[in-house]
Amino acid sequence: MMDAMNISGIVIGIVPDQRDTCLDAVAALPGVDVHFVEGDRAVVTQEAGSTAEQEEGLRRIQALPGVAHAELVYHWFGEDIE
Amino acid sequence: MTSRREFIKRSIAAATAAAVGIRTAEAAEADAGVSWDPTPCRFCGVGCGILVGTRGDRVVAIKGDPDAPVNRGLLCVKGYANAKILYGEDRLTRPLLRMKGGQYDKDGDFVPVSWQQAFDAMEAQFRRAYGELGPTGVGIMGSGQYTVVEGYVAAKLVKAGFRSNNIDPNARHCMASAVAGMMQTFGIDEPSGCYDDIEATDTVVAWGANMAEMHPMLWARVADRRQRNPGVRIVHLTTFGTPTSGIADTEIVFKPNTDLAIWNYIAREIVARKKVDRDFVAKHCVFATGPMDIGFGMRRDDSHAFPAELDTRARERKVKLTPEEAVAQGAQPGEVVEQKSAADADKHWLISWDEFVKALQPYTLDFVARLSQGDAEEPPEKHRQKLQQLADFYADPKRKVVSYWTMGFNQHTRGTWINEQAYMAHLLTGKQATPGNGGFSLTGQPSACGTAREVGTFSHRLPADMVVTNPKHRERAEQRWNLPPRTINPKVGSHITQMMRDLEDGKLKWVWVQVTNPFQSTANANHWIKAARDKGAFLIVSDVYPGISAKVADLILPSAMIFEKWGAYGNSERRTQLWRQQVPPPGDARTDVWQMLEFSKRIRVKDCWGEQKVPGLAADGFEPGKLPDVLGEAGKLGHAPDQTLYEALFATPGNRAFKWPDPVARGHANHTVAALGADWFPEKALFEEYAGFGRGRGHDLAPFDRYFDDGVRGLRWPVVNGKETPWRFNAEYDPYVKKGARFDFYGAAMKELPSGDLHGVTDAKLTAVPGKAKIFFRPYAAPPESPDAEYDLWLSTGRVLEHWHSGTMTRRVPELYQAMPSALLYMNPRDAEKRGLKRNDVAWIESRRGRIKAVVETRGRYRMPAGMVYVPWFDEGVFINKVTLDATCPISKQTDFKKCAVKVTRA
Repeated sequence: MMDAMNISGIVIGIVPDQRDTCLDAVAALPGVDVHFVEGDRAVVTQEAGSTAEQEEGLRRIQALPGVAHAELVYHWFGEDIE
Repeated sequence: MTSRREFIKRSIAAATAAAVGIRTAEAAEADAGVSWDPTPCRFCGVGCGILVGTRGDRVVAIKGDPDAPVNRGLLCVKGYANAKILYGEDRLTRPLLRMKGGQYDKDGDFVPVSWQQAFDAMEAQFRRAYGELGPTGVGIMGSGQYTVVEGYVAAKLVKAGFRSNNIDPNARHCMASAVAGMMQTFGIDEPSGCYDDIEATDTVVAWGANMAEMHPMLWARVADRRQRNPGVRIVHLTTFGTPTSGIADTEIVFKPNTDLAIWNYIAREIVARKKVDRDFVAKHCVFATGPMDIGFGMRRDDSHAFPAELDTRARERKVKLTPEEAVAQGAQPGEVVEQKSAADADKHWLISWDEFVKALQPYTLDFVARLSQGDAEEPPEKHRQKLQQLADFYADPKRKVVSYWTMGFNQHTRGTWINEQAYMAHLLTGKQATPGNGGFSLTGQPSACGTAREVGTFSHRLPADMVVTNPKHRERAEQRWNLPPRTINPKVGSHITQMMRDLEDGKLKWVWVQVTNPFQSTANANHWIKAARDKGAFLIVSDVYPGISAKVADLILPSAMIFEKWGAYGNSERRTQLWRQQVPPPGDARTDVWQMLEFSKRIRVKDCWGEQKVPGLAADGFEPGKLPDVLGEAGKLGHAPDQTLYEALFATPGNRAFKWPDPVARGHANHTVAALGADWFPEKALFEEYAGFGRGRGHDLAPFDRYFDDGVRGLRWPVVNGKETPWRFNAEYDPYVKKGARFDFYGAAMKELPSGDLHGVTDAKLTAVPGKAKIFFRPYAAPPESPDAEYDLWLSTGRVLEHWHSGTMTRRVPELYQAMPSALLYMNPRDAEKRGLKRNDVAWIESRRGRIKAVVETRGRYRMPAGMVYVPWFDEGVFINKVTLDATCPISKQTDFKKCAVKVTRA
């Protein structure tokens, strides 16, 4: 809707025996940073250009092998920063 | 230095982790030896629950409280700063008095003094001002950040002790229009609904509310609701694009003040489409209107006006109607209307359904769409379609709707009207006071509701919605306070902007500022800064950091901050939340409660309860211009002339029965008690004393200790038989609804009215309308100042996510400071280009009242339509309130910070 920085906080549930491959795959996605991992859960942020891209990005995470589920917990719609 | 982007990402990650109970590495490390206790957040009116971690005498960690129903473990970037606000380098820790040669001198420099010396100066100056001017010569500027008990002590000290009504909070600038709107509509203050509406509704309409930045945790709940329910729609009405537009399905940018017309278009559609809930309206509502010629709350006395101000001020007396106003008010274009009803702007009368419908007729889609379009670059057809869709949402009987608003409505020269118009649409459709339906005014301060409104720290109020002008209310307060009859002054005192004007006029000579920074937050500040320094008044500022108000003070008193005292706040959804002291205050800083109690030991009953002059006082049972000598009657009640106000009002036998120590403390200390050298528990005793006003009268608070029970995270009043009330006026939830009724708008204020038509009263006979809500017709009116050939841009001011109010606290938090170090001038790139400006240039922003410099921002988070600029007010280095206009809603007396005319030039 607007030209804004669009960052979301996402909690990922990891399939227990695929932890490393899962986290590697998540971290390799563009705009995604892994911040915390506890047990079979990880907290990541995803930066996207628009709400649509953000939703697409979430679906991309959900589709990765080793991801049991991924939930969007936090949105940030701030200004564009160079 | 952390980049802003990294900072935001870290904050988001930490908030996300907290929300789902993941303990982050930082928190785990800090957890060793840390004890946690729940408290509310220090900042906005959402009232999020946080867990404060202390180690020894220091707050070391903050986390979102997963058990808090408001925020469910989430916190915004300010929430995480709650600990760091305590530890800024320039924290005030000693009283500072302006002195020369060892004596107080108005022109002296600040010198550290003892509390004894500070109180000596305060007392001497109080006696001088009170002796010369009587009760109206002294006053307190208070706050919506007062704890409940701080506000109660201040109100009682001023109203019962000093017999003045000069106490008014910064909350006047924040939600007075919401109060007036609710009082006139429902006869009782505070919202029908609660935050649970978010999870129950189909439609969220944010009107003049940038919730994404100002109420982030509520907005997170809205976003969540939208995400999980594809049918939910979010509409954002605003005068410029903000982050709240980000997840909105529809953003409607409208021209300032035309929100008044948009509501009438919606109502007209509801009527035309026959979507009125006739049964609800017939059983529970009446129709009303009031005068249109009410002025703009500006000064009528021009003796201190700057020459450039005179043309705007002339509109206070006479208004030449614009062509659009003429249509909207059924008048002739160009007609000059004398503003005769300014003094009784709040009067109103019943009208018929037919009159109501007739009044709406000019507000067609054609008229309103043309009038209201706020972004010239938007195709007009698109704006029309959005308005139609908005009307569809309100009119559709199957769709639940919540309307949220904040400062865009409340800071409005027709603020009371626009609040009433929101209820108009909700009441017409029966979408009020049920889960997922209702108008809801969000607040900006943590206890604007719990303290300023409910305790009544206003110039016209007494506790629990009572007012000083009502003889029965005064009598009730006098009985509860053990005061002789006619102790309480029946004349309304000065509202906070009026107190500034009184300072300028030399009518107010002793002012105590508490928990607020009014010399930064009051519009048209050049006048008030000068008045504070030049007019011989004695200004006391209790604060935690040296803000603008402290700098213009004569005496600065160092105060304790939130976790350094016991306290209670009440949030926007009537939720009262209490907390324990976590750590002691630094140095000589003391709680505001202690400061007031200690000062009250120096004033005796005989100093204030003899005969007092009050210019202009006229009330039944009082001699004109005078308060009677009540010392004789006071003696019969046990108040000897030499008794101190401390003994008469606060350390009463009843209150001293609340002993300290108390098991509810669970080992936490009480700095007020220690500094007072007392054996009683003032915060608990005075909470219970205050609660006595509202119990059994629709404002029931639970017992003090109940709020500290495990698992309790605040309770929404009225709390009856231990049960809180999520939705008021609705028989399913509210025990105060009379038996047999489904709804009962039982508020008692202003429920006997004359009758009339759109032009005035035609039948003075009073009709009682108990249990009914009023549906008001209110017309479109133009603001007092609009852009013209010289001052050619609209200016709006407000907050940003990272900073809170005047930035006194948040600018001391490194992360927040770095994220948003200074206030910028947000403007449309083409407006900038026309003035030879580009991004990062420095520009002058000038109005009829003053000028300041700021850095131009043409991108940023706000999308400014052509013709409008925005400058946030948190930054004392970009002192935008020197530029803004001190026009107010004439009913609520709340300033309109959202509209004045400025020019922008290259600096």
